[in-house]
Amino acid sequence: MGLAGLDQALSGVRVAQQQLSVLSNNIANAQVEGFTRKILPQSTLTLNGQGAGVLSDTIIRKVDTNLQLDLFRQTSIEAFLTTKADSLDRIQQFHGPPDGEANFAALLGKVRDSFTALDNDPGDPLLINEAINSAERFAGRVREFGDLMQELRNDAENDIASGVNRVNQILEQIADLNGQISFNIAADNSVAQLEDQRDQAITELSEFLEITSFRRGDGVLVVQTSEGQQLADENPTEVFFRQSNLGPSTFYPDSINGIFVGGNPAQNSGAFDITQTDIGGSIGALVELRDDVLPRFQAQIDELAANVADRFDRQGLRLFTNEAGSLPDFSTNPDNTPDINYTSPAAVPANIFTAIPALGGSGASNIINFNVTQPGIGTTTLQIDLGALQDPPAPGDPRTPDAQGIAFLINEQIQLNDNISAENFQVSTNGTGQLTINSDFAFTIDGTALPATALNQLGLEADTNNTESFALPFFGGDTAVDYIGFAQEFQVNPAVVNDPNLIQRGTITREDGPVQPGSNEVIRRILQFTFGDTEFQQATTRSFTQPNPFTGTAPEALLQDQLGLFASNRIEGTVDLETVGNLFSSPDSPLNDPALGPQNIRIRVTDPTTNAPFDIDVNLSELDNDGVPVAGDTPDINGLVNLINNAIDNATGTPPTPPPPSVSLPTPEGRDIFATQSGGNLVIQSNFDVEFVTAGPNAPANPAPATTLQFLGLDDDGDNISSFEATQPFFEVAVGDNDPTRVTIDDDDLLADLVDKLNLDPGSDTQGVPDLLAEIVRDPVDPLNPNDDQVSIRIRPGQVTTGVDQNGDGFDDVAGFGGEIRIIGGPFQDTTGNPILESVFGSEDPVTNVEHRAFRFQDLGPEVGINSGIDGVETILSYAQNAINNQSSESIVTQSSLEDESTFKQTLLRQFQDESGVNIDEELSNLILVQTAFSASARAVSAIDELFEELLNAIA
Amino acid sequence: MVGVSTLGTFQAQGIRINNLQTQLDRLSNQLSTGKLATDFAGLGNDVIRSQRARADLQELSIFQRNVDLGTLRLNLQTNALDNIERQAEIAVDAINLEVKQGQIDLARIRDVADTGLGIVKDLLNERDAENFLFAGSDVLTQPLNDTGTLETAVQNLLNDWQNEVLTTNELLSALRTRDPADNPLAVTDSQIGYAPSLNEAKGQSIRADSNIEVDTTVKADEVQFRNLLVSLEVLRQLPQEANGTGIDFANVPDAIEDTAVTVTSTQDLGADIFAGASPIAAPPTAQEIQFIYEDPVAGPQAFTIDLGVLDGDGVPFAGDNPDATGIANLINFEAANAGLPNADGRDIVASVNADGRLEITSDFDFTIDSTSTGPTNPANAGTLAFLGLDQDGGFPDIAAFETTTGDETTTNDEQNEIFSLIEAMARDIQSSLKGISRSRLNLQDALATVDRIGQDIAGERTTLQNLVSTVEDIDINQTAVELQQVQFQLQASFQITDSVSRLSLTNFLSL
Repeated sequence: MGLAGLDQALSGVRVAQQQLSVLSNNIANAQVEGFTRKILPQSTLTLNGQGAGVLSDTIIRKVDTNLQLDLFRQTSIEAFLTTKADSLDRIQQFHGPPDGEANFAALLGKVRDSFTALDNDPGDPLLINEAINSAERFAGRVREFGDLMQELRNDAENDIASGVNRVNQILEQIADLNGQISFNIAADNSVAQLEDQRDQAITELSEFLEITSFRRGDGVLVVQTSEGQQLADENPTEVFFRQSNLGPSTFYPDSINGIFVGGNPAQNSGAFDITQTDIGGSIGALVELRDDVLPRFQAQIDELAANVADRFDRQGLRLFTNEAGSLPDFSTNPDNTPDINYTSPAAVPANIFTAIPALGGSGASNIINFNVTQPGIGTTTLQIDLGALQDPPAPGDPRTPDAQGIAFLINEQIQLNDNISAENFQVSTNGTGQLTINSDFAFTIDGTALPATALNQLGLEADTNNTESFALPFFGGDTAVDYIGFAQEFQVNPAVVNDPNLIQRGTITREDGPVQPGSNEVIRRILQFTFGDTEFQQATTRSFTQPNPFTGTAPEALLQDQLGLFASNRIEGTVDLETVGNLFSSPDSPLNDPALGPQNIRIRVTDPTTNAPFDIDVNLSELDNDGVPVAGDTPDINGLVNLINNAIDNATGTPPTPPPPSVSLPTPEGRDIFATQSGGNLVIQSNFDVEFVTAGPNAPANPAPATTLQFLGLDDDGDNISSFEATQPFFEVAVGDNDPTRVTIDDDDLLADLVDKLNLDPGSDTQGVPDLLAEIVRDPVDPLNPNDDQVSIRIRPGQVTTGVDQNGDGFDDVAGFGGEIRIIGGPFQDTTGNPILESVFGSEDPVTNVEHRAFRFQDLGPEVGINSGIDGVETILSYAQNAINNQSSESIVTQSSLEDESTFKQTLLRQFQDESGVNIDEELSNLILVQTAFSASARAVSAIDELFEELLNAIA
Repeated sequence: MVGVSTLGTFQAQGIRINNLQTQLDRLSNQLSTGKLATDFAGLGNDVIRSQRARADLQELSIFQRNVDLGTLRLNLQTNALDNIERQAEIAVDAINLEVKQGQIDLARIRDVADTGLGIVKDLLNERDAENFLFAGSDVLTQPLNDTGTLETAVQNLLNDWQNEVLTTNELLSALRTRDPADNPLAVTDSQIGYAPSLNEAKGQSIRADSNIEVDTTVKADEVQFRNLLVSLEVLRQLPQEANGTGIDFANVPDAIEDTAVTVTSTQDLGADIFAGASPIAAPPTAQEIQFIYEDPVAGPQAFTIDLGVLDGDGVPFAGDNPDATGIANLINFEAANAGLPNADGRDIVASVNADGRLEITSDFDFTIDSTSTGPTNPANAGTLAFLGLDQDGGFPDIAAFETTTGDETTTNDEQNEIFSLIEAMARDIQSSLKGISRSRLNLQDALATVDRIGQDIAGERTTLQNLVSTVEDIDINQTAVELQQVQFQLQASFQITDSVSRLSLTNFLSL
């Protein structure tokens, strides 16, 4: 027993020493990041059922692997957000403090303010220089921001390259550690320390990429990307990335290389591009910054720069340009390129009802639905009924039972549907009878109600299930806008820098002379329209009928006839005949006794259509109250009115000599003349030139005595002849702060004459309204209908049109400017004296605002895949402020997320450390325990030794 | 049981202390700057509010500046108008005084007008720094230049008036008209000395708000100034005795309005001028007589009558009978076609007198001509004599008639004429005064508007400043309290850290 006890005590001493070693190591590494507490498990040595001492097992560690995986993921998330936040913080620093007002929005506000000051004193050279200086400061800030975006993108690209290099080093380290762990496990050696090292490497890897992992039975930890691409086991997988030099127009994957797992894709076709996957970690953040966030910010500043330059230019001041003094080409419109161009695989039958006898009639089996899905709008269904096609069709009816008829039905539905535009979805036919569908949106064709295979027979699908789907290609195939990177070229027009007075005069040559040095007309346009919500104002007349070029209908009617608006002539006598009382017995009356014979006054009127006069003779002697020729022929103002109206009514058929043209009132055009009174004064209201005559060559037979007209208040000079010219319909129109110009609609005017009167053409005549553009436009009632001959006149500020609509905004491009118009109605009144302005311009308030070219929200960036994140903004200042707000919001959200995720990571880390880390106090306690065990074991050895000594002494 | 890691404990404590120090730094920074954040992100959801408020605040500062400068300009304009008004009033007062006294001291009127004219010209050319106040948008061009052409133009008109070429009414018409299309003798803007571009000049305004431009335009060529200049120029050139203060009546026209000439036919033309021994060819043969009359403004003018139309058929006019009445109607018909009476009211009127004789009354010197060098189809020889319109009754068929003086020139006539002129000028100046007063009232309205807007701006600025302060500035008291709290927390954390570090088993065991 004695020897056995000694062995047992010695095993206790040995194990205690081993425990001391482990504890010492734990205490020594207590402050080492990533070190996990090591444990030396002990077990009892049993021989023949009897304890034979203590045994130590392999040193192990205690790690919660699930918690550790969570910690890895959280490390990736924190690294992702930290990297992103750092970059966004640089942008915030660029904008400066809010009260510094050095950001581009504040500087744009100062440009506006400088123009506001200049508006007060347009010729002040100091203010002009201040305006240029503020413009230069703004342009410089825009340029710097554009540069910053490129700098940050290139930094991101550089950091990706560095990160990938480090990732490869870490992967090699992990693979090496995996190999060692596998070997030591096989050799039954402790791998706890190696696992700590591997965990450390994986933790660092997690900062670059988000990873997943699993542990194999041989102890190898297989590391993968978050989407399962293997990065390392015993062997590392190379992560490949080739750095590019980035410019505004470079983008992944066209001109930026991807990040490949598996090495160089040129050498390894199995290399997998993880760029578009959820990479996570700092590299994921850098990719997002490079390909999404920073291009979005660049798109914002490009959009702002381009629109600011354009909006200034459209008001006649090209203040901002590129270095060459020119502007981007706004005609490049990404939406002009359809994303889907589908041509049916087979020709549509020449007669679908013959080819597919089950079609026709009014049943549901004729229905095809085109379901078009638009972002932000949803799915719009265009339902066409093939039964509407005609067999045979009537002459001229487009609904033929063939490809053209089907295309007509679809396009008709597009016209009728407010949700979808023909610009985005069009159907046409080609020369071989195939249907072509050009769409900017994904769509499906649902022909399930049709007879079996009918959709295929109609050429609208390749298979025969009566349905077909069309998805958008990944990159749409659209064309990028022309102003990508314009912000970096953005500067004050060199021409303006060289001649600062252009700020006040504008950069276009006016047709009607230069802008005077004290005029604020350019500046106020800039203030009101460049910085305002709308580009200009316009007015459109009511509709008129004009011969249609398609149909060549009847000759165009005169404008006055179409308007029902004629020259107006209201003659009001200057004498209060009510006060006069009896026209014959008044002391001032020159009239003779009615019984002595006729006393005629002649009202000679001239019809502008026939241009011939006709005479209405009024015999004042009829005012004898005998009821003949008209009831109420009293010798006073009432009787006079009745008598004149009776004479007018009977003018037909009583032609004087020489006979005038036959008179019939009102005339076919609606012109008329009548008498009335106003406050006792005689009033003659008509649409004609009017002459009152009692003497001279045009005098009537038996003229009334001299001064009769004067007595009646119709002749102010007593010459017994007085003429009153009718006023043609007119209105006044002015552009900006110009004085109003009167525009008259003459008797013989057609639409084109009015347009000519509105347009100033100094080269050929001096008529016209300065700074006004007028044109005849076809009403958008039914543009597909060639029988629609309704047109309007549209007027807007400007000077000359190029006759070309390059920018696709629906108007011919104007080499002039915008601004406001004012229309002041003429003295148009109906018979009751109410104004009838609407007869001229459609309503009493016909001027409408025309919006600027809208800020583009989507289809931005070189790959046409960026949206600016700023929608619904109309003014340039608001856009600039929203851009900064958007960038700040991105920073705020990122920073907030970072704080949350960091807190969570700290919680996980603390939990992990508490579970797997070292507590020195605990280790010290264990140390005391081990010390005690060691002392006890040593005491046992000593006791046994004493026993042996006693025994030996006894024997000896 | 989950343990407590020493490293974790100290790291956690370190993070807590770090957080507290960050808070302390932020709060102390806020306290020292008074601002909530040093970047936009620090404003949280108020980024856009801050930007808009700051932009609006800056804009209001500019509006305030505009209002201040505009007020100065308006005051300058108003003062100038006051002075112009004063000069006009002095001139009118001088005239009224002289007229009231009955004995006109022309020298005094001339002096007052001369002085006033010079001052008014200077005032109309007044500047605000480099800009002319009354030039509209053409601010760099002097609106009124003293080229002497106004003096010459008025002098010429007065000469014509004194030489009885022009009546007083014609003179006044010319003086009051600026467009030669309305009166060939008009005193044009160019003669007055207005800059050619002034007519094209647009308005001036004060940009007092984003939607309000206050019009401050008063242009030197407005009618009230134009008439005042002309009136004063007339007054300073009134004819004066060579060595005295009285009126130079020798150079004052008499009443030329009384000089119409009336020609009465010496023949009783009977019922048919073509009948009997008449030399006149019967209708429809053209038998033309030309009337040539001297219009003092437009020069020689003419119209022609054709006796061949007097056939009683109503064409070209009713009453075309071959008798004295028909001839009278015919003369009136063609005179009217020729535009008579003219703009000054001068006319040629034919009638039949109580004796049935043809009578022609003319405000012009005129000649009746039926010679071969006269009308295209002259009436047969002897026609004028037959009609009783040829004084000498013989060859050639031409007769001249001059306007005659109605009465002898008297001092009263002359006084009346010059009084008429002076009074007309006084009325024109009075009318100008009304116009100037209107302009001044408009400017005062503008001034009141600008002043009101200035007060509104001050109120808005306060509101916006408050908004900016609310969004961007800290509450000093609250921040100070927070800072103190964080200080306490940090101090406590340090103490805890110290305590925890000393609460080590090692220390305990070593004790």
